[in-house]
Parts: sequence; structure tokens; C-alpha cells
Amino acid sequence: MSNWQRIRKILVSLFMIIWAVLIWILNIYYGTGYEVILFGMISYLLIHSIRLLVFYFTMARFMNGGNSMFYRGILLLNLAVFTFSLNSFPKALLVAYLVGSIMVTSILQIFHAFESKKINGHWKIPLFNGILTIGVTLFILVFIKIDEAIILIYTLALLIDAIDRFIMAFRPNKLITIQ
Amino acid sequence: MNGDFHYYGTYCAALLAGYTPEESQNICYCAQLVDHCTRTFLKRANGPSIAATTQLQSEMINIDTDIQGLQNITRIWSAFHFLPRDLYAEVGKGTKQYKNKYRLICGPNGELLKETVELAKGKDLQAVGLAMHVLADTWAHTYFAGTPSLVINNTDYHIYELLQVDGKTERRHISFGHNPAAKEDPEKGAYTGSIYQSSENSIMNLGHGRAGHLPDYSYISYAYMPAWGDYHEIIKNNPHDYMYAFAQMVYAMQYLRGGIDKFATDTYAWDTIKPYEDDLKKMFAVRRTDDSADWKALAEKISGTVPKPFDLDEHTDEIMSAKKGTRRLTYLGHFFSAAIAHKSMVTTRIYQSGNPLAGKPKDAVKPQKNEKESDSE
Repeated sequence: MSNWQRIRKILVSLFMIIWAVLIWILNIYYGTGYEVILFGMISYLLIHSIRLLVFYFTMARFMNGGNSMFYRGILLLNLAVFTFSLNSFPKALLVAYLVGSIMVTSILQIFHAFESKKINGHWKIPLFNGILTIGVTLFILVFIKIDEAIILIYTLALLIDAIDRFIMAFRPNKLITIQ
Repeated sequence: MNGDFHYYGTYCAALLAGYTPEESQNICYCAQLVDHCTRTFLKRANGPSIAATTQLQSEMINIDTDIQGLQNITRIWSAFHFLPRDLYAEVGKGTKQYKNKYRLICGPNGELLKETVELAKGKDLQAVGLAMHVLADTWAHTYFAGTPSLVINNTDYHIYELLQVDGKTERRHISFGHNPAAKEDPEKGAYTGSIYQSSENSIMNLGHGRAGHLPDYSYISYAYMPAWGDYHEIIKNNPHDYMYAFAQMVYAMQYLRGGIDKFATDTYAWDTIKPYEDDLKKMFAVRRTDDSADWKALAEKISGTVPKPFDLDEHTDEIMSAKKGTRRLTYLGHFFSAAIAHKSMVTTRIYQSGNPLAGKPKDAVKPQKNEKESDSE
């Protein structure tokens, strides 16, 4: 990892921490925690889908298997639109969607950790991160019965991810290329 | 190509071209040095960092893949290991960005190869060795580009080794492991390759990493679909290509030694290598990753001599003890000068073709617009 990439990782993790705190504060004072979370998710999905689609149309469509970039871009775009529509649905559906997305992300993280282990990459922290996020989510849902449980879960998941990125910024990168 | 070809193979080719064993030793040393002359080595040897001909993995980890970082990577790898075949290739598809990357695809007998060999004419043996490394790699690294690019350098699941069994050609699927610590086993078809990275400019997508070491093994023939190939299968026959590489190296060094007036591409010293053709064919057919022993035996057969084992630090004492103004005159100083001259030539040609991927050379002449492209625009 170059120095600039490390700085970028640290800045992203700081932004995520600020974002998590902001969600909590806005929910306490204005009761808009869910809306802010949705806004963040929609922005993230939209930016990534546009990036994928632009890459597809400028480069990947000339490559074998490049259509997968297009499909991923469209999938993310659909998810962004669906997330936007959740605002007009009952809160229970929104809660289920957010819990589901956190669970899926954490399971994928655990899966990637095991894949990384096979190729001598970093795996312990991503594995711990994934398990911790699932554990915290289930604990809060089952034992802590408050109305803003999902906002607590989401902000904690953001903080765990931010700390993970912060730690990874200082770890030596393992590079598996063929020379 | 692996070290056995660059070092011992070049030694044998130089002998056949008419160089003395001492001259051949110098040539093959410099041919192999191209794979070791990193910024780390240059720091140690008091050499200019601009003379770097390769990059360590640890150096590439710390490179930013921003525009400047990518240009630096491209300058080194395109110049010394993936010499582009045709900077003005008719691509027939794609944006300008795609075409720029496509035109960096490596291949033998391009215009740049001719310029590479001609650049070494009248220069010292270090320049000859460097040119031979570049020439050899145009054969081994065909179809890959010396710039990070998913859309050019990626490979997919469709990759098969072609085996001759009882006179018939059989296909065996190759699946790559990604554990760098795992040993490759040619007998079982177990190979290591770079992991898939969907980012276009990831250094995992530099050169032939996605095909592992297959291009560098003399024994292997394989079929695969390169990312740029529109799902057309390409067959890479390394025994055939390595034979051509060797024959062309002999021819090129005959030219550089003064025995031939003009260097022409697609020309080979078949008559010169004929007495040793069977030895070469046998060597390239054996399923192993290191042919050093056979190359040494061939060298002994040709001249009764063998090159000494490659020692990276053989000439570092001389340059480290030299005074600042005289470093250029040392053995390694000559090599660094040859590397800088070659890199400058290749970077200039890439820039002049209107391709910004290798950056702008210092004495840049404004790039000429490709006439065919301007018609379509």
C-alpha cells in the first residue's frame, strides 16, 4: 500500500466514524436516523453502480466476460432504487432490509476471510470483524428491546468497519503477483 | 522467459553468433541483469533510479496506481519485458482509452524490436545483453501488455494445456492456485497465478500474472482466450516460440557483431543453429521449469566452456568505489546507460504514437495523429 492509499484508508475510516455519530445525533434531536441511513446507502449504491456502468461502456464491454460488470452495475442501480422506495414502506420492512444487508455483508466478509487465508493473505481481522458484527446484531435484536435498535446496530457495524479499515491501513500489504 | 534462457540461453546464442566466451559471459550477465536491476539494487549500487529495468513486488506494493504511478510501471515493463509489437495497430473496436492499452500488447518482430536491436549497434556488450533480454521476452510474453489492465491481461477459466499422448493432442484443464507459497507441479498441472482483481489498473493485472508462469516455461503448449480476443482461442506453443527466439537472438547478435549489414525482422539464423537443433528441441520438450543444466551442456558442446553462475553483485564493488564523475565508465555504469537509452527510445515511440500510457519523455516531440483514426473521428 502506498502512503497516499494509507492516508485515504484512514480518512475513509474517520468519515465513517463521523457518519455513525451523525446518524445517532440526528436521530436523537430530529428523529431522522432511518432517513439518514437510507440516504447513505442510496448514495453508496448509486456511486458504485455508476462507476461500474461507466467502466463497462468505456472498457469492459470489449473484454471477454465484461458483461458481468454491466450486470453488477444494473444490480446495484436496482438496489439503490429499491432502497429509495423503502421510505414509503412500513418501518418493519426497512428494519428487515437493514438487518438483512448487514448480515449479508458480514457473511461475505467471513467468506472472503477464509478465501484470503488460502492464499496467505490477511484473514484474522476480517474474520473477527464479520463474526463480531453478526454477534452484535443478534445480541441487540434479541436482548436489547429499544425502538432504535436498528440504528444502534447500523452505527455499531459502521464503527466496527471503520476500526477495521484503520487497523488495515497500518498493516503491511501482502501482494500475490507472478513475476 | 526464465533465468535459464536469459542467462545460459543467451550465452549459447552469443557463442553461436561468433562472440568469444568472455564476451558471451558479459552479454549473458547483462541479459539476466535486466530481471534484477530494481530501484533497490540501484540504491545499493549507487545507480540512477531512472535506470531501473524491473520492479520488486515490495516496490510495487508501495506504488500508487494513479496516472504517474501507472506511467512509471508502463515505462519499465513495456520497455524491458513486454515490448509492444504494433503501436499503430488497427483495433476496430473500443474507446481511445481501450485502444491505447491494446496497442501495448507485446509480440515478436515489431518495429520497436528492430529499433531495439539497432540501438545496440556499435555500443558495448552491456547494450547487446539488454537488447537480447528484450528480444527473448517478445516471444515468451506475446499477447500480454506491460501495463496494468484487466481488459487486456485477464484470463478466464478457459485455459488448457495441450499434451501429446500417443500421437494425439489431448487437452488438460489448468486451474491456478493463488497461494504464492505453494509449489508448482508441472507433472500434475498445478500452477500458481495472480488472483482476479476487478479493478482495471490493479497491479495484479500487469503483464502475464493472470496466466501465472506459463509463458516462461519452455516445454508447455497451451490454449486460452485472452481478454481482448473476442472469445477466440489462441494457442501458445512455447517450444516453437523459444526455438524462434533463440534463432533470432543468434541472428541479431550476428548483426550486432558486424557480420550482417542490416537487421531485418522475421529473420532467423537457422543455418547457424542447425547442428544444435536436436539438442534444443530435446531441451524444450522436457517438462521442467529449469533447463540450466541442459543449457550448460550445450554451451560446453559449442565451445568447451560454461558461464560462471550468475552473481548479481559481481560488479557492484567497482561502481561503489568509483568517484562520482567516473561511475558512468564502470561496468554497471555502461549497463545503466544502455537501460536509460532503451527506455527513453521506447517511451518516446509510445508517446509519439499518441499513447499517453508511458508518459511524456523529456525531449518529447508532439505526437502525430494516427491518420486512420482521424478519418474515423
